[in-house]
Amino acid sequence: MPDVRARVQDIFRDVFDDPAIVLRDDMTAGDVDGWDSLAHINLIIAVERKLGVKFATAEISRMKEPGQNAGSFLRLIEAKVV
Amino acid sequence: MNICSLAFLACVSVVVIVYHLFAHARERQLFLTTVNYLFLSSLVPNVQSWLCLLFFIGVTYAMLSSMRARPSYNSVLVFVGLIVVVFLYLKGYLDMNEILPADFQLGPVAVIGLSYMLFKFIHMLVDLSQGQLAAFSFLSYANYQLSFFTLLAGPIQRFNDFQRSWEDMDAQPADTRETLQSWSRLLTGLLKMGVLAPLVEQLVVGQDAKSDVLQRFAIQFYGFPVYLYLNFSGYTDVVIGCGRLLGFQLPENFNCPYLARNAIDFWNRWHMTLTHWIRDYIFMTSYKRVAETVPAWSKPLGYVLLFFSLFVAGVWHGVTVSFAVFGIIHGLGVALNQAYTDALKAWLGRAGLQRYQKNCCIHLLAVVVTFHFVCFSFLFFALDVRGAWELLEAALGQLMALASTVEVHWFYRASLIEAGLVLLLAVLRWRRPASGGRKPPDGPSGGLRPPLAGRWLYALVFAKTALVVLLFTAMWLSQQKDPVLVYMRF
Repeated sequence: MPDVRARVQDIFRDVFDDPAIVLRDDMTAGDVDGWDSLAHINLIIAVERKLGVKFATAEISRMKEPGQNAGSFLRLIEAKVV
Repeated sequence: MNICSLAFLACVSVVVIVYHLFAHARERQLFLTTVNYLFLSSLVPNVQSWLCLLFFIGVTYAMLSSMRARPSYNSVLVFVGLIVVVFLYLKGYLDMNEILPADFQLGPVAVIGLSYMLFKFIHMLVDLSQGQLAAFSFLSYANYQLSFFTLLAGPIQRFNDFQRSWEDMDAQPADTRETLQSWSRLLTGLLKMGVLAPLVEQLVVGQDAKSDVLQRFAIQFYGFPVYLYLNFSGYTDVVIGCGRLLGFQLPENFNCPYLARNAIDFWNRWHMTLTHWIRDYIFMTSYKRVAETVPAWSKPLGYVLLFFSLFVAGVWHGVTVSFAVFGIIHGLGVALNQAYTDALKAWLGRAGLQRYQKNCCIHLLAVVVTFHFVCFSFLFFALDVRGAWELLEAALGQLMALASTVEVHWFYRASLIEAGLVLLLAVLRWRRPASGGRKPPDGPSGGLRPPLAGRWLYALVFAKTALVVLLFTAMWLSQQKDPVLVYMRF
């Protein structure tokens, strides 16, 4: 869903204060400067607020597991938005 | 039964063989239930302890069943509050004998692994209230809580991961290479916990009170962290190996913790499952609430919550002044670490911060400083506050006195050698090929090193088995006491 992707990309740019961020499916926390636990929650809150979705504690936690990336995050959001 | 013993190794061998003789999941589940019960029986000392354990499991299962029928956030708060009171009472932190009838007053009880059970229960309760928990029965819940490979001291496995393996027992056994690697892991754990850790412990504990104070300080300062790592990570290797032999993929608990570059990095490498639990169910939950409610205050309150989360990690080890100090040290370390990173970003900008973090000299210095920070905090882990303070005072006093002399005391030479070794270690760590991020956790290579070819793996497992049997037999013949798992008392 290109609309969701574009909106999430804007949220990333806003939260991390970096207009140059381009969301890729294989992007991980290591690829984005300042993506620590505090920023992770700020990102979650921003996505919840702007897209009207809610994340469970386990979902937020799973995002930080190895193998998880922006692609899996987007798919999770898209499933909630539909 | 002591997990670090030949008897345990023999029992595991029998359990693994019999387990794989059963063809169906249900048979394997019942067999594992029996094994868990027998292991537990060897640890529970008296009838009252059994009753307390069954009460805890029963009450928590009832709470989960209630939550399954009617999920509600308010119920989470009530249930967590109640079970924490029960936990504090069973651990002896809360004396209620004056208000309870005589029949309900607690005598001496030992409920092994109670704090780990509490963490697992809270995680299940929260996830269940949010619709994130897999289906469970009393059998799967009891085995999740009491499985012999996570009962004593974790790792704190998430229920959904356990349930996947629990339901999947019909699958074919792991291939030969995986089986050999699991045995190798188990044997490595026994060697670390049963041979290396006691050697270091003897060095630390067996010091003569009349020996040079700097020598005593150095051995305590550097020796205890090494001992604790060998003891706890050795146990983790044993249980992860056991779990894998029975088809359970337990989470890793260690990832070269003494190569951390700061306090936050340390807790992402030491007792990782505890860190992740505290991050998910204390820090992230409370910070999210704060950031939603008072966003203007989220940054300073974030530092406070970081401090609080690590303070909880500290006092979880024990409700004593020394563990509170341990928690305060790490709480301050983590909070100041975050504040420092934020200040650097504001000062240097994003690109400058990136250059700073990639600078290898700064990285090496950070590793050395963090290692010493951790060693300092472990003084309060090993000793009471007075003992730690007296040792520090005496050592600093002698250092100051020596600083005024011309003679280069052995302590300074040893410090230089130690700094050199740490630098070398850090350089070797830095020069490992990148894998898109951090080195994978301790244990199987995770893809960085090519797996050992078949014959070499057989040879390695055979050699480790022979070494374990010889050394443990020698220790038994010399009547040395069995090594004790430090983290079992938490």
